Amino acid sequence: MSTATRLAPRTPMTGSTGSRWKRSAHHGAGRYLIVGVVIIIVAYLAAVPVLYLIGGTFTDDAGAFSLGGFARAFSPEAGAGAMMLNSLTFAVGSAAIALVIGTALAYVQVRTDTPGKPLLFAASMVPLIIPGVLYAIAWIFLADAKVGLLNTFLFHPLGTPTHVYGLGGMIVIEGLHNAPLGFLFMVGAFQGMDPSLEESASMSGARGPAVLRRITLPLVRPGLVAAGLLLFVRALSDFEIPSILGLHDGVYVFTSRIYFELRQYPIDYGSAGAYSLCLLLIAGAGVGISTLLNRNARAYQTISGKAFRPRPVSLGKARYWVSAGIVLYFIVAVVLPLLALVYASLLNYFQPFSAGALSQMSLDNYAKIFSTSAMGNAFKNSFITAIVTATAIILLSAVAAWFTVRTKVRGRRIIDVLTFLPLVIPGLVLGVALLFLYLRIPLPIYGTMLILIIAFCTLALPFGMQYATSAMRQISNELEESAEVSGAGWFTMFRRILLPLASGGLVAGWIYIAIVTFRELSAAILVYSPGNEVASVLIWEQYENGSFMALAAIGVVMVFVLAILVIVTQRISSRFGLQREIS
Amino acid sequence: MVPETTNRNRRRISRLAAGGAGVVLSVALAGCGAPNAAPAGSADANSALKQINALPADQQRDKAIELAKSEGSLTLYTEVADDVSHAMAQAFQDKYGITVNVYRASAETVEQRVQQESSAGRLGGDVLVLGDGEITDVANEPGVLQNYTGPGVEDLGDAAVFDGWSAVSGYLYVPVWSTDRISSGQEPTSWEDLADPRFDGKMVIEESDSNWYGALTEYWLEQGKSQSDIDALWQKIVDGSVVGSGHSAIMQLLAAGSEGIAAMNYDYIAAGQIDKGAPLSFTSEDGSIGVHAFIYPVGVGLFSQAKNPAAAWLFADWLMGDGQKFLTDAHLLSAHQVGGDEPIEGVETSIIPKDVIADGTKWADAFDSLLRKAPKAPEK
Repeated sequence: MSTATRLAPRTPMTGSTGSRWKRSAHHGAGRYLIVGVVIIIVAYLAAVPVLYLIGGTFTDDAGAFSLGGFARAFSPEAGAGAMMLNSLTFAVGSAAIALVIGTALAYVQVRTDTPGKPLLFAASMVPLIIPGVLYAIAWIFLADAKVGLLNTFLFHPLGTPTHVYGLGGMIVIEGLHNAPLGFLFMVGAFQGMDPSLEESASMSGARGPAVLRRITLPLVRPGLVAAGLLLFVRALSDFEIPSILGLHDGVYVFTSRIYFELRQYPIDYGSAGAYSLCLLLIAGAGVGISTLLNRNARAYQTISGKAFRPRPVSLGKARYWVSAGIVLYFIVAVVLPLLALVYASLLNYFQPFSAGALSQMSLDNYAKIFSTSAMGNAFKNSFITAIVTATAIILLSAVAAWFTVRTKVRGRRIIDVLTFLPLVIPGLVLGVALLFLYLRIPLPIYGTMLILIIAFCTLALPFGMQYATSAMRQISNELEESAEVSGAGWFTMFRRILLPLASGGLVAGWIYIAIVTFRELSAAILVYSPGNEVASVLIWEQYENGSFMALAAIGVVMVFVLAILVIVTQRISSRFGLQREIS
Repeated sequence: MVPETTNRNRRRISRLAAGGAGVVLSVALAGCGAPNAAPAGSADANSALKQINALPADQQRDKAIELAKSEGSLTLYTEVADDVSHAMAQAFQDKYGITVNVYRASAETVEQRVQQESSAGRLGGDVLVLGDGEITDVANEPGVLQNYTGPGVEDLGDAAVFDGWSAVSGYLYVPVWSTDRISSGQEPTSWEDLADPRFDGKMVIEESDSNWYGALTEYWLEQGKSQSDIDALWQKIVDGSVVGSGHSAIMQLLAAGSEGIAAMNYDYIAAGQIDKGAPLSFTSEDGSIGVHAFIYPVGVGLFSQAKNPAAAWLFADWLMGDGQKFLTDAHLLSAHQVGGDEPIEGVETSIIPKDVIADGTKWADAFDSLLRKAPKAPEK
């Protein structure tokens, strides 16, 4: 498959895309059928929890319409204004950190001659693999003012101990934790970009920073916007890091309040729903802004009919600085938390580094987790659900993204917005919605792995759609048109032209979804049945039991297992010619 | 006993089902042959339990064994820790040859699942082991739970037998401290002690501990304190504290020495960490607990729609007898200790008042408001 690029057209070609939906009707009902079914499935997945959430939020105890949940959630005592400010500061700050780090790493990975790129790719995934709760705890073990290992060894002797709690700590640690999401997104974006444009600029005398600012970044703008949006909403909807690091210093965000309300007895669904709908509004605004920023979509289509061979950029002398920066990043974001987890996993309880602690180290926690009979079954179930979910969502999203990006069908943007909504629906609410529905459907779904897969698919949908949409935006219409002119049916064109060309973004999305599905808990805990436990349920067991050291051991095992999954995925995709640059 | 609360909670939970989404989904599903949502005891369950209960107490167990063996398995819904619940399941299976499938989650998640399953008429569990607040709520749902009335509860005190469930275990609300940070003799010997400046900047309060807040406030009122004195005490306690999330997480931070003292935590979690060598304590040097500790009961109930009712009965019966060992080995209280007919050494106790559980929302709102207004005090 030859891929090609051209200079971004300055004026959109009029009419061709919209009319193609009608014009090529002779290619049969197959297209309508496939796209129609996919749109129905995607809309159904997203609509179930959203309708449920809305229904629960706007009704009172008697089932009548009520705004009582909003009154409680936004009463003067609730401090919603401060929460809103904290939530936005936290989301914007951490998204900025994750986007800068992710973009820089992706550029180095895809576009430069840095050695050891497969390893770089797998290592970049590590913060993503570590569950948020464990990542936050690892950072407490590292940077707590009194007992943190970094403070013990470095900052206390220097007289400047770090403080891991509060808004600052939340932003930095969330940013580091989400950087792989930005990285994966931008890997796809950079893979679809023509380096000859940069070369032309360089030959015309432009310096490196100017090329980056005026050529490289504008060309990946759809990816940057989509990644920024996803990172922003991802942080907005995260509750683990804000709960663990924020409450300590009295920093409340919307999600820590939702989590709080859902833990209360009795549960106040009205308030939790009101906060969730507020998040939905913010997320909806984010989708609107990103649509506005990407409105001149054709300007960013960089994969077209002319062949190019991606050549790595030689960094020259800057290579040492880049290498140093990468090493520093990996030490901070990957090595240190992982070391903290390894250290903790060898202890019975966490204690500051000392000779006494060293003398107590053992492999007991590893022996404990490997002797748990349910562990093997849970990891097997997690692999199955992760692979099925990632594959299903990426395929569905690819078709749905084609529909929203390529057609002019009225109302297609509703799919964009709808598929984004599950991102801000609390997992427990999703679980309740699924229980409500599938307990009443006489199909063998409740009590099986299918309900877990449906839950995971719903949660993964926003990510799948963003990855697929971003990838689809980079592919020029002319390739599809050429296929059609040559007589290819829609399905053949989709399978043989679009999917391979979008594979950079789609494979990145697949990896992301597989990993987050592996560690997803909030919905799984409600809908799993005995015998269908997934790994995240066992992780939660250790957390609830207070066995944090065993939890750390599971985290370490997960990092190695999922790193292998990532490497295998890369190898397989490169064998089929899908990911040249990464491999 | 607590109709107001349970009804409110139930209404809130079912509000989702009754709301617009519920209507939309119900209409959509009307053609799918959705089962009747009204829970009712299954004929099999009632028949088996009637057969067992009709016999004299000394013959009930044998009959239950006979019927349970023909059922072959049971499903336990519980919040009891994973290692304990699975050890119990294995021991029960070893003794009776009946397989126990365990669904374990947090108390509120288990309650959610039961509520949803019972409203759809598709209960998946046979027996429920859950904390006071949640099991009371489930028991107040008509036709969901039945009490085990076999020989196991006959010698329990009245305090352990409730409407629809019986206390099978429990744990204590106590302050827990790091012995590295709080030296011997400096530990709190009363709840009032927590207001002392010596704990400022060292203390952490879990954000959802409103049951404790309500129980202690009522206890102080009974002791003759005025409401304004009590408010002032709480203000001092909170002013010197930080807020944490999760009792287990807080215990880890205490063990690590990151925090000095948890104003309230659970004795069994602390005892488990102390077993592992963690420098923690919730007792003074003489083994006594200075504060008036509150007991939070954990109860057992039989699902009225159980598919394996005899096995469920037998499990509840076993839990009152041989099964107690697994609970007490995990540092939980025995049923007799919760019931009051067996003393808990070195501590004055009382069960969390039912009205505190009943007024959960009121206490949660008040506690939340108190915590969120608290300024931070520097460490002394």
